[in-house]
Amino acid sequence: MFNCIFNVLLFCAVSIIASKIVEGSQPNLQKTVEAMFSDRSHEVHPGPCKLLRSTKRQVKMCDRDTGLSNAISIAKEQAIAACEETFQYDRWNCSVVFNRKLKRNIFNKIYRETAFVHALIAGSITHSVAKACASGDLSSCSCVGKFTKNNTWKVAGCGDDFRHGKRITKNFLDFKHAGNDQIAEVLKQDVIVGVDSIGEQMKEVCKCHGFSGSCTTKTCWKRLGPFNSAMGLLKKHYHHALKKKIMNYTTKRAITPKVRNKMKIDRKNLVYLQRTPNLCVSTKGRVCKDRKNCATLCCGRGHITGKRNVTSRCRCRMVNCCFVQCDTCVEEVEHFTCK
Amino acid sequence: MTGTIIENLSGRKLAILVSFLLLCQLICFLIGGLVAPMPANAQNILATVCRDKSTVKNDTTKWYYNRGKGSCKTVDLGETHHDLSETDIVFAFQMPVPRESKILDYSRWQQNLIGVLQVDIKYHSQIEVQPRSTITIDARLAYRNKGDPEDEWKLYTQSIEKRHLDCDIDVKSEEYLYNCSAIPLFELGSLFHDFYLLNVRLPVDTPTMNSHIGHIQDMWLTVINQNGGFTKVWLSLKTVFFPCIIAILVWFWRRIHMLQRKPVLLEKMLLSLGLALCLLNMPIEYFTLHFDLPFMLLLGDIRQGVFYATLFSFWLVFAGEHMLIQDASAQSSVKQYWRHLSAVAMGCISLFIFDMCERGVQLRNPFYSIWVTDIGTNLALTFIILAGISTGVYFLFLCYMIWQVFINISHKRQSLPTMCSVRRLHYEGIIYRFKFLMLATLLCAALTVIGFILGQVAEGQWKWDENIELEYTSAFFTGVYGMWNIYIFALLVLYAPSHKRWPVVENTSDTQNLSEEIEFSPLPSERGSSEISSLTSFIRKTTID
Repeated sequence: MFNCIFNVLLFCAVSIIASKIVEGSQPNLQKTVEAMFSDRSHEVHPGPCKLLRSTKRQVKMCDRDTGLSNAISIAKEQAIAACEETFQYDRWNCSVVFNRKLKRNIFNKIYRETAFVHALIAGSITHSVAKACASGDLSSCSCVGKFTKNNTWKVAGCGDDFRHGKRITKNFLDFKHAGNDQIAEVLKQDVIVGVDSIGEQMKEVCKCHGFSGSCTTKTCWKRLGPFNSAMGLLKKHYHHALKKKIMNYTTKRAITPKVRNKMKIDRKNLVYLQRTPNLCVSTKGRVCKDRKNCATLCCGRGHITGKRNVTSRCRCRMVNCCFVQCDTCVEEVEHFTCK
Repeated sequence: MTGTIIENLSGRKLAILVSFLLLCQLICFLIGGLVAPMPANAQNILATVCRDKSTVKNDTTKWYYNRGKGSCKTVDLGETHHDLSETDIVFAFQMPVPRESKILDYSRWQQNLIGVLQVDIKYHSQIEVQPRSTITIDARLAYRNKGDPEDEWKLYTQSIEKRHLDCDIDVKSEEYLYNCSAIPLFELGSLFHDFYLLNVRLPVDTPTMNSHIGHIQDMWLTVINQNGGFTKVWLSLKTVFFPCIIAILVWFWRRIHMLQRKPVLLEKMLLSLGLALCLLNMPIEYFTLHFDLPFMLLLGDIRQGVFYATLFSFWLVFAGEHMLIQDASAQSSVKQYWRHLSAVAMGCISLFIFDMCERGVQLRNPFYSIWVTDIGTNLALTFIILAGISTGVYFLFLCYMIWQVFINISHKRQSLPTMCSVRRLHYEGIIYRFKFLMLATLLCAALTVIGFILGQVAEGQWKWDENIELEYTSAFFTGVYGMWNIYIFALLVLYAPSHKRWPVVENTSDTQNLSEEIEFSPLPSERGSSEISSLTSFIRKTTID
């Protein structure tokens, strides 16, 4: 009897310590992603990185290149906007907490959503940094060509911006010092999946400029894809994410090479450690898209079909070459809300 | 009686010469692969959308840019602006973009600048982009040099251009982007200034102008320039090859003039081939470092064209000269080959006209493209197809002639056993060496084609080892360039007339090549005749046999 109570107490203690480890001494990778995703306000923090309470390393990076803070804030906004739009009709609607309970933050443990958010933020930073390099807003972009020789731009040209975006992302998230316990390994993989999803969206374009304009000389380059198509890819990853068994949750011991090798096999997938709690509780009152979507979103509770006048943009046309001008039309549409 | 050097050269010396040339070839390949960077570099530049507040839009002294003093006020195209009109929007590309926290500038070693425009068009269900719509671009290019004030841009060129816009989309969903083809925008034959600035406007002067191009979200410009490192390697190769070929040409021509006869057609052809190669080798690119020479792209095309034309004509004459055995009494001339050579001339002229229409006009307007208008496209296609047909006809001719030469040789070979052994050995040697050279030609051509195909298939870079990375594209260029130089060098050396049985001339260093050879006893009937290629004389002799 006494033994049993002691066991329970011990278990509790271990669990508390464990959760403290996740929450307390988080590496910068987790902290930065959490800060960027959780803070939906446009509050300006002191310091050169403006948008988040930054670490020393990040302050240094933002200091060195004034364009970086702007690129990071674009990355944040674009990530959150894309996430909210894509998950509009899903059970998890891109909120920071599950089931509207403040205690159930998605960053408390490594849920499927946590994995996705890490990939999302990493991808978004990569994308916006690469774009900032191309527009010249970010002047510190590296010039390392395909060769690692000490060649200058005039001699060998510059490499692509995606490569630089990847590097900045890893630096900014302090990838190297994320640790090597299981949680860190999982998050690192998620970050890589996010960055690579931007790389996969790049399209190769070629131009022939040889003898008489023929293809005796051909130069090819990679073109950065739009962020929302990378978002589509990431959502696929979200649905196909793999759950890993927690191996040594309570200790910060490095995982064995054997396990690491096993993880390498599915490098292409998002991984998470804990099952997401049931989100059905919070979907009451959520708007769903169509009957099929309602069935999943409302968890079988059914939905209310209502009619509502919706004002929408219609008869759009281009005005002044570059702007879309639309009329506003009022339309009566069916809309569904979960019971 | 003398022949050419190849006929009198012993096998051992030939082997030494060939292995020396192969070594040179390998060096050329490795210089390109290990020393030179990629031939060209592409840099993507995202447009900054600037707001043009001035009332007069034709003012070419007003420029919009995003970096440096006097940079423009930017506009976000995602939002709606009611106070802006189409003429107020300028897409600005300032090149080169900064890297490693440094302001970069172009170097004259980078030779040329090619601009390709890509447009990101958002999908809107109501404003779909029609396939093959036309985009009208008001493009203005300005330049600035180091030391100039940051806001002092000077007009380089300006033009209003039409381009075809080919767009399609996989996922027809709002906010997704169309997949649009790249639009070639400009080609500058010289990269003389340090900084360039491109301002692009999309005018709507008529109701249909730019009305079907959808919602432009971003505009990208990719600028391609030759890499300075590659230019340096390329120019050094030229600087080395140029005097070598000149020297061997002088030597070749002096040898011919020492003979008592006039030079034969094959020798004249060899001389003109050498001259064409000299024209190609001439390192006139050094002048671009000091002068603004926008015609360099065109001139480069012309030099290459002249070289190819001479090489192709040489092959024809080479094959023909070893076949014209029946009327060997007549001194052969180029006129006899007019039918065959007209294919070469035709191909060259059509390519030249096409090049003049495209790159020639680009001298006046770098934004010009022949492919934009339907007439231009048809015209260009006509000339290219004509050139293609001529090349096809040429190769048919050539293959036919070579086939005939081989048939002739195998015919004569059958009569070889009836000859005396010394002469037979010698004849067999000649046939072997003739075939050897044919083989070398084929090998060079095949290597060029294979290398080209490999370059198209493989990524631009190959890895042998962890430490050794080979820049394949550059290696291909220097390798092929070196190969044809070495090929022609070998032709000039091996097909120069041999001075055997002539009084030895002290000042020519090559006499050592002739020291060992097989003693050759000519037929009495030929003693008086002048020196002609001994292969043709051999064939004639066999008819006497």
